[in-house]
Amino acid sequence: MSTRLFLISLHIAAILAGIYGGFQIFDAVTR
Amino acid sequence: MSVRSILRWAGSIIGIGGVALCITIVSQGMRSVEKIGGACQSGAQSSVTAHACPAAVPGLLTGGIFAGLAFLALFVVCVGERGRPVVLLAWPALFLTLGWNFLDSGLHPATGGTSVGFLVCAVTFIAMGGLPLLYIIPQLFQALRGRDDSTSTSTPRPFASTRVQFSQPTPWSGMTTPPTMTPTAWPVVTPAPPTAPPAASSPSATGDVAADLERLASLHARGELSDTEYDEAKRKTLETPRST
Repeated sequence: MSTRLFLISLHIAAILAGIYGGFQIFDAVTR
Repeated sequence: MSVRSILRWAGSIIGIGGVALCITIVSQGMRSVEKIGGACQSGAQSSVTAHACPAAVPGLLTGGIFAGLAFLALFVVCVGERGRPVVLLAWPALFLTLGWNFLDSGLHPATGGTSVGFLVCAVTFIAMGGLPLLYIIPQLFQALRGRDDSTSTSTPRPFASTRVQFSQPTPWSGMTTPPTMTPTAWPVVTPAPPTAPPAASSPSATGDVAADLERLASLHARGELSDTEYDEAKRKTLETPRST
């Protein structure tokens, strides 16, 4: 159970990191 | 955890993060175009629109769409069977994001006032993204609860391993003890007591003395009746008047 929660947390963290990275990449390219 | 499973988990994490990254880039590109009226054109051709596209936005939009599909494919390949419903979330994530952009642009367009065209698009996209959630969210809850075999086998199912074994079919007539039960595993199932088994001294109503004597002899031979019990039962069988 704890392993499952850890992996789900990793996926949620990846989604948040992707959103943050998307903003950063867009700003960097269109600047 | 094997190397293969680690690679699969890494692929699914990179895939879902890449999908989020690409949706964000597409969303930002869309907003930048909406700020200049909602349409743009790049290149040297004669323009039907008044606005040139913001720098790098056409490439980001096109690349974001195809890269997002590639990341989604990576996630589909790497995620396990139970994570498959998460794939379906890509559709609402994309359309709700774009719908929100349309709503924002419809309520606060660059030209001021409200833009009915953007609002119509907003309603359409939000409906396209939101309605599938009615099907996807229950699927996700089922996946989170866990339906895999590892969890189902850890819980013993009642009566799954129960085996009630009678030593062998035994006639009730002439018996003084109930049949032997051998419960082999939990839970123990107690059989309902026999309803008034005929006593050893009361022969069957059919009047078949020979059959009763044979059953008594069989029980005696198997050791289920002692000599005393056998003699008494035999005597009562012979003495009991029969209906003819």
